[in-house]
Formats: sequence, C-alpha cells, structure tokens
Amino acid sequence: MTRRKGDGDSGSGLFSVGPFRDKLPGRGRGKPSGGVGWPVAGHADGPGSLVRSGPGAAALDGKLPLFVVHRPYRFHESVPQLLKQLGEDARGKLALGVSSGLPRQTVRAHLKFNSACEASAIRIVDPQGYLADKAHLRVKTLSPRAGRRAPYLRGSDYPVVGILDLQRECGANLLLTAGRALDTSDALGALAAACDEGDQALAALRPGERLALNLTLNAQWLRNPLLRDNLLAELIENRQFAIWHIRVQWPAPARSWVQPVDEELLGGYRVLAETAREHERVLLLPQTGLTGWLALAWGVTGFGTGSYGSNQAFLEESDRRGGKVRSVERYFERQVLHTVERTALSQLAANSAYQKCTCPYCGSLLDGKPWLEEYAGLHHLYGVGMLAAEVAPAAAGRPWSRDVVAGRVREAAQFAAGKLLTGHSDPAHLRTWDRLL
Amino acid sequence: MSVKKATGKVQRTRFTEAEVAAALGGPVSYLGSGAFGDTWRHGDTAVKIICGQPLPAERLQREVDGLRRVSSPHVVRLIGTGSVTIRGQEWQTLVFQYIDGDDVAKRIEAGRQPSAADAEAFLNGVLTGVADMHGVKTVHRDIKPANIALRGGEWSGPVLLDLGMARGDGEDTITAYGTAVGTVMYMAPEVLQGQPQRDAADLFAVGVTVREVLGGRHPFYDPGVNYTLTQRIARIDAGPRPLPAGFPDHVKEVLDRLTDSRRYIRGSASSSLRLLAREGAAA
Repeated sequence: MTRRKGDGDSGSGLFSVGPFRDKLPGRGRGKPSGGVGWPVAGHADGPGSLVRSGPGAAALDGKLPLFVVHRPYRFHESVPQLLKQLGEDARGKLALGVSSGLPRQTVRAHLKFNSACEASAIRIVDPQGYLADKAHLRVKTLSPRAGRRAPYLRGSDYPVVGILDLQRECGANLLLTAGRALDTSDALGALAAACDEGDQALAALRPGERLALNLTLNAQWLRNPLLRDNLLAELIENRQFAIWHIRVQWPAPARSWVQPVDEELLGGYRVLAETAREHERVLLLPQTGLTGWLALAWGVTGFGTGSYGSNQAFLEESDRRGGKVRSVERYFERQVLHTVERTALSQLAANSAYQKCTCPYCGSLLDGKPWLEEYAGLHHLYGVGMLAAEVAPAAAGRPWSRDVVAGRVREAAQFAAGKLLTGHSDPAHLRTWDRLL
Repeated sequence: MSVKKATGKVQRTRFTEAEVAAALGGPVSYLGSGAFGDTWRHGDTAVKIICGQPLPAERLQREVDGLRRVSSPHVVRLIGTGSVTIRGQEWQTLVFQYIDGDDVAKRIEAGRQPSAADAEAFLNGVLTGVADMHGVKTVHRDIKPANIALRGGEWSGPVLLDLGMARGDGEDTITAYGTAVGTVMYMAPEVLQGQPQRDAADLFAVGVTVREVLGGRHPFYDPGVNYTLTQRIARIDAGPRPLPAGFPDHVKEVLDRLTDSRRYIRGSASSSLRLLAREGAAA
C-alpha cells in the first residue's frame, strides 16, 4: 500500500517544526515550555474527552477568545509548533484549538495529530455530516474512503452515541453533533431534528464532557429574515446547548482569501453573534478566517481558519472540473487585514509606516528566498491568532470589546488608502466592515 | 348549565354548583372555564375539572410534570392531581392553590391602571413567572389578563394562572392551527401562522398583556372588530399603539421588544429581566 503525503499516517517527519525548530522557544528542553498566564500545555486541561480547567474551559465558558486552527491536508506537521509559539506569544489572552474533519483521516492519524498539538486546549474532530447533504449544499461527492471512516455519512440511522464515540476515539475533547446541513424548505423541521439529535447527544455524554450543537447552513439562513428568525429563536430557546458550532457556506464566487462583502450575510452574522452574546451562548464559527475574527467584535467566542484554501472559508464547491490551477504567491498582511499577492507586498513595504512582521516564519518569506507556501500559511495563522489575542478582555470575566476590532479595521483602512491595491489584493471588505462595526 | 360569577356575569358551566360541591365534599364557587374544563374554588384550592375538550392522558401528564417542576411566587402552585365522579363518570382534576385577589382583566375592565412604579413591578413579576416556567421547559401558551391574578390585589404580586389550558371569559380560543391553544388576541404572529407555541409566543403575550394594562386598550386590535388572520398579522407588523406618557423608558423598551413580530428580538424572559434591572438601575 502506498502512503500519501499529508494523509496523516506517514511516519517520517511527522510533527516536525519547520525551519525554525532550533530557534523557537521551548524547543529541545524536553518538555513544553510554560507561557505567561495560562498553562500552555492544553492537554493538562483534562484527560481524554474532558475540558476541565485552563484556557479551554475559559473559552467554553465564553470568557476567552478561542482560535481554532483547522488541520491542513498538507504541512499539518508544523501545526503543533505553531500553536505552541502562539500560546507563548499570546500570553494567556487566547485559547487555542484544533479541528479536523473526521471523515478526512484515519483514527490513528487523528490521534497522532491531536496528541501532538499539546498547546491546543480544545480538540475538535468534526463529524462533517453535511458531506452527505448535497441536496442542501454544494459539496464534493463523498469518497468511498470518507464513507468508510465516517459510516454515519452513508445512512441516516447511525446512532448518535456512535458519532460521539468516533470523536472520542480520535482524541476530541469538545464533542459535536453530526452537523448535517439544514434544509431551508423545512426550516422548522430541520432545526427541530438538529435539536432533537443534540438532546440525544447530551443524554449520551459522560460526566464532565462538553458538547456543541453543530449546524451547517447555507448562506440563506443568515440572509433571509424569516430563516434567520427561526434559527435565532432556537438559539435563544434551547438553553440546554451552551455551545453552538455553526458553519455557513458562503455563496460563489467567493475566494478563501477574500472576505465576503455581502452586507446581508455579514449583517446575519452580526445578529447571530449579538444574539448569542446577549443570551450567553458560546458561538463558534469554523472556517471563517478573518470574518470570524471580525465577528469576535459582535459576540462570537471562537472562530476557525486554516493555512490555506477551504480551511479559511467554507465555500460552495466549484463547477470547474480539471485544469491546472495557477499557484499564486499570497501573503497575509496584518496591516491591511487582508491576504495580498506577493507582488503587492513591495508596494506596501515601501511605505514608511509599514511594519515588517517579526513572526518566526517571515524571515524566510521576506528575504528574497524562494516562496514557501507552508511558511506563508503558518505566518497567516500566526498573524490571525495574534489579532484574536488582542480582543481578549483586559480582566478576567469582562466581555471583550468591539473597539479593539473597530480600531484595527480603521487603522487598516487608513494604511491601505492610496496604496493602489487592486484585484484580489484590494481589501475591499474594510469599507463594509467599518460600516457594520 | 349556567352560574352567576362574582362579577355578575352569567357563565355556562358543564356541571351545576351542587354537583361539584357534592363531588368535592364541600362548598364551592365557580371561578372560570377553559377549553379543557371548569375551575371551581374549594376552600383554599382551585380545582380544575377536566371536562371540556378531550385532553390526551399523555399531554395532561406532560403538563402536570412541567407544573410540578415550577417553583415560583409568580406561578400558581399545583398541589396535586385527582379525580371526581359526577353523573356516574370519573373526571380528572388538577388542584391548584387559590390566589386571593382579583385578576388583571377585571382591573382593565374597571379602568384601573398601575402607577409607573407599579407597572415596572408588574412587568417584572410576570416576566419572573415566565422565566421560572421556561426555565423548566414549560410553556404557558395562554397568557392574557384573565389568566393573571394579583396576589393580595397588588400589582407587584402577579401570579400566572391556568397554565396553558384555559379559555378566558367570553374570549375566543382556537385550536385550528396544529397544536395551537390560546387566545387569538394575545397570539404571537408565528402562532397565528401555524407555528408551534414556544417560549417566544409566551413573551409576545406578556408584552400584549402588559401594554393593554398600561394603555387601557389592546395594543393592536380595536374592540368589536372581527379581524381576518391576514389583518391581524398586518396590524402586528405595523407595531403597537404608543404607550401613554409617564412610564419609564426602559419599561417601554422591554415592551417594544416583547411585542416585536420577530421572535429573536423578544429574546428570553431572563434577558428581559436583565434589561429591566440594568436599565432600571441606570435610570
């Protein structure tokens, strides 16, 4: 049998730390280094599927922002060290999490990854039940291999407790319901079924386990006032679900590195987040990238992103088939809150107000050496994570303020003004964000 | 059969006063009728005899279980269940504490409105009762002035009665829309459109009831007009009548939220109480 790179079971080099392994703090000391504030070693939060204390518990209680890194298909070996670095540099202002798609790897690969991500307080192994719902979302056709790994995708009679058990086997400590896509043509029925499944899952939890109600929606659920009202009414009334994990598929022609500017969609996110905050629900928005960061200002507790592609945004599957996709070198530029093409970077850097990134991955990226997609992705994750850490409350138990996000957005808009950023490098979302904040 | 109530109104009852007194073993007085039965005062208790529309045993048990979980000074206490035999047939009963004091419908009828301070206390009390019910996953489904007693006659002592199964004096009750039970004039728009009655529907009814108390008239409907369903929804969408001057802004704000046609704006009873407390303290 041939092992594919990135499939998680390959032996050599697993969980290496990239080019800065010797320079990164804590490396080679034989044990994880302690950060300032919260303990870095998230696994100390609780054994197995438990989150009992520390930053993970604080995040699941809505007291600390949660930054979730979606396991990349490629370069996932670098994620543990990235998280460790982020944990140290965020100095207790951020809880870290990892999320992997249950159908996408073997149990062994999940376990290895989750075990290696010591700095991750929250470990999600998402059942991604929506993969079976092509009638409601535009998703890839289910592969036979994914169907074998996640048998619940092949039929509707798989027991709820079985889905929880699979997540436990994979090393998850925040359990999710299946996450089937909700049918807009039967909104009430779909929501009721999701909540019913959630109730069954709650009843099947072991002492101390935490569960998030996992919903997958198309964008109409946030854009359409009636659908949104139905969704929000459930959020308010179902007090038994303290944590909501809501994934929204952004309509075409979105790009993973471009933030949506659809004000109906963003307005829906805002109302959703504000309602969650008002009613003290922990709301997690996976696969939302910088838009998830923006939503922290409105009351979201956590968001997820990845180093590239679909992990940064949950997009409609493209109609295109085949054909070689041109690889474009892109760089997350924190000063404009956007991922710009590398060609635009020199223009930004020429400005006297430009601040060169000092993250562990940028040295190699910015000194003229061959472009490494892996480092660009890690830099992106580091940068977004540090932005999230800025939003943390100044004191324990205090809500985080939208002022931090709004201030960052205004600064970015000012910096971008007059820089002739065009095409996908234009941070057009900043104008929309500024209006909505 | 009919019986004369304390208000002077003549009400139709399923059984005579003598039949009920004999069945319960002591003097009784008629209190009111609902879709599922009649309620009689018997000593310090209010006994509801389930003798109206057939009530499935499972549903009755669910209601009873819900009520037993509620512990609130603003929700009538369920003492127990039982049965009585009248005319050779056994009827189930629910036995509640009797609340001494008039109900809110009578206050409205008499044109007696609360002061600003009493209005806030009344709203707070009703919301507390609803929060306590919703906290144990029990939806009242028929909140209206006739189903709120004032303990000791005080606006600050509202007590929710009848708990989802009653019909008030001379008011319409509909059961045509799925599981909808309640009074049309206090029904939330989503219930009028056939959606299930959930927490948000209770909150809408609280908003309508309290607005009616404060304004002396229904916030959406004119008396004596028989509205179509479409007209009712249109009037709710157009917004309630303005409240009279003199009531605190935060009370108005909470009432505006509660009578919004969008359910999520109504929030929860707990969030409304938090808003009242927060804004009340700031005022």
